[in-house]
Amino acid sequence: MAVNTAARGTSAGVDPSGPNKPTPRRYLAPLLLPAVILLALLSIYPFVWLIYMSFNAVGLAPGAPNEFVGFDNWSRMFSDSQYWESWGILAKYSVVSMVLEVGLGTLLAILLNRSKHEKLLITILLMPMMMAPVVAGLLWQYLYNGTFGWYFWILRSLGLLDEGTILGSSDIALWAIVAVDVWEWTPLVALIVLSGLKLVPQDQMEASWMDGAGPVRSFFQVALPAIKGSLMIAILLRFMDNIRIIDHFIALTGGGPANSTKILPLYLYEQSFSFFELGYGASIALTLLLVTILFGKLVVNRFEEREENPAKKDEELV
Amino acid sequence: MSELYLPPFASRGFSRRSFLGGAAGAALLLAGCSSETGSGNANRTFANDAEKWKQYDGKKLTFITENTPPSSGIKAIVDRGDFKKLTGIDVEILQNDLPVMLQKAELDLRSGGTAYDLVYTQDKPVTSVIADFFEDLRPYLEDDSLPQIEGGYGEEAWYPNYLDVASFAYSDRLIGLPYDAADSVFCYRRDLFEQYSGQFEDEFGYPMEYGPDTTWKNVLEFATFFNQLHAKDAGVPFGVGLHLGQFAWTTQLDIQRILYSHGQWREFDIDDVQGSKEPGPTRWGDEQSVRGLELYKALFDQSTPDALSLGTVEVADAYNAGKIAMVPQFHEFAASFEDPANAGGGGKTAYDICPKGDKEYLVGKGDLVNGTNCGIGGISINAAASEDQKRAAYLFIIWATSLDVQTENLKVAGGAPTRAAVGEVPDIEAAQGTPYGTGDTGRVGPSDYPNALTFPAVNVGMADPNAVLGPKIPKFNQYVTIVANEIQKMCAGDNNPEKTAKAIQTQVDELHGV
Repeated sequence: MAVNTAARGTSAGVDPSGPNKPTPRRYLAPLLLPAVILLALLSIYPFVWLIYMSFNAVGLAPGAPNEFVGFDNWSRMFSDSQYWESWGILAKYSVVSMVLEVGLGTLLAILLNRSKHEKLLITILLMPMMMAPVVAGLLWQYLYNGTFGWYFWILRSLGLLDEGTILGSSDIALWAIVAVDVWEWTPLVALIVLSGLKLVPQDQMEASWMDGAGPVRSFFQVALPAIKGSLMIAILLRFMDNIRIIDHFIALTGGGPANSTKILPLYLYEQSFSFFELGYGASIALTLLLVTILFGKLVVNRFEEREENPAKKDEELV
Repeated sequence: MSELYLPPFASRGFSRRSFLGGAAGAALLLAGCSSETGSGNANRTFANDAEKWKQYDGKKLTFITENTPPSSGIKAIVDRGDFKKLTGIDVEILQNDLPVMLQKAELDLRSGGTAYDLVYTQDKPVTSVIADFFEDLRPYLEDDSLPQIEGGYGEEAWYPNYLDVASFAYSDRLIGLPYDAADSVFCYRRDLFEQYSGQFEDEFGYPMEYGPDTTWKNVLEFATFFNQLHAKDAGVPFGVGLHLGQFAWTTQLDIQRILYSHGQWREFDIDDVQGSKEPGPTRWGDEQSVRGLELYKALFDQSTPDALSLGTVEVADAYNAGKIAMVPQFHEFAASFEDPANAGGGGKTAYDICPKGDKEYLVGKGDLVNGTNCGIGGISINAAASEDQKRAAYLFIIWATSLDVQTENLKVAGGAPTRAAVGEVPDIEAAQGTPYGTGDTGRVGPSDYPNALTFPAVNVGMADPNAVLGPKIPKFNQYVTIVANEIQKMCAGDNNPEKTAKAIQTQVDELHGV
């Protein structure tokens, strides 16, 4: 706290009349105004316009009037079975991807932490992450291909796949896309968790070992509480990415077969930019945005709660 | 072709003019002479055609098109300077997958933009959706200050039905000229048919031979036979390939040709040349549509196990890999099927007309025909462009659809010409083999012009009564998405044919507010 108050120039050590004297309140608004205007232009105006669009049948031609349709887009959306199916598919995809990425990423980070070739291994592991998602999707489309795909051939050779194909099966296609996401983004989680692991107090770890705790117990009792913040950042980032993802799906399946991989962002894209139903697309986009914000807020609150409640933090550490 | 929709002057025909050869030669002779640019050229008088071609020297056009061989061929010809030499106009050709191309063009045109002067207009997925934003070409055809279409604007110069498909939508405004074509033909492994014909006859009581009277039921039996062989010997290909993958339009075409074969069944009660902005109730859900879906499901069951993931390109890959014995495919794929490097290629494939309907699957008393459908790519001008840009774009259109350029395109990239006269060029005519109906019908390569092997079948398939042009409706892409999704669900076992037909009917009628 002392650092913060010093920064505001109110600690006893700072001369209120010196160069670090506080800015008078009357200047705050004019100084903030340019940034606020810029922010408004970049985000608030489109957001308000999105709400406006959701109540209109949007005309694209210049000068073409938008037709006010009241709650038509909204009522259509809530009675649209594909909309709800797409939410279901998105939920399955996001939860499974996130659980796998966080689980595997944490495991990888533990294995890498202080290993002999840590830096080299991290560099190698990060390579998938450097690839544009759409390129990754196209690459995996070739790997999954039922005619010449390498992974298809391996799975068939191992007897794990019958004569059907990976992307041609409504039962498997979604999980095949989950695998691509896990391949590409688990390294990011590993990197974030690894940075958290570097902050785990070594004295506490050593004390835990001295007390006879094994590696698993030491991890859960000492390391895990210390990396919870990092894990939350990883969860937040991966959730926000997964709920908006579209690249892998467009490249791999386009939402098929039989709509089995038509997640909500893909449905939104289809309505807005294939069929140009911009009003309807806007109402779908708003619900997607709302869920993203609510979940993000939930995670951030949990994070802030931990930061502001050291007693609880200590309890967790005990 | 119905004359009802031809512009009044079309029946007059236009005199065949010295086009590329003469004009290009004259242009070369005149190279270096002063050229005219700017507005007001419509009222100018030019001494000769070469001057007309050169009137927009220095302009630049942007053409957005699909990334298929015909457009790649045009790009190659443009990039080597042929059009620039003739006109002095630079043309930037932007190629994308069709859905991406449509998205970009639609955004530009609907918002009154002029990023693209020329747009590739696939008849149903593109023209149907944005027809109102294209320039009416009729005044250009009567404009003496512009060079005119080689051979005139009339059905005699083009393949049957192409002009109707590419030129109109919802009115008699002439909005495009046929630029490339993808017509369905039936491709099958002639070597395997010959090898197994006797064995097939022992089991099914007739030889395994393909011809214009081969029905879809025969194809189903051929496919069943091949799959039985495959079960014993994995080296034998699966039966028949279908187009069920990502691209909804080709799935709709896949079922459309089967349905049309049985009583010339069509999706809407509208004129397919003009289309309709209010198509009314769909015919999906009737008995014939259910029978058609039953046949399709039976074919699916005798297809490759990965059929649900195979779109048009992927099914061609599978055929090339020797995984499939038969496939209805668009004729522009012949070039890849003839590649000797492919397991299924290099003179093994015969190209014939699509199968005929079978009376067992016909409801009522309609005709049984060899249902053949197509994607005819037109080329159209953005109506929002400036007058000079539009006139310059018109020069490109008549150049790109000319006989010489189409012939050259066939040589350069295995293009799919739209002018019938290309097939009369001596070496291309020779590459087609014997005329259709004089002995064996399926053409077999190898050939220097692989796509020409399909021309005899295309000529018969795209003519009446076999050709089905397909519905031009403003919500075409929504329509095919519904059809493809429901058919995929049926094939995946989620619905039976009857429920599928009804589900399509319900959604399509809802889409059109019926």
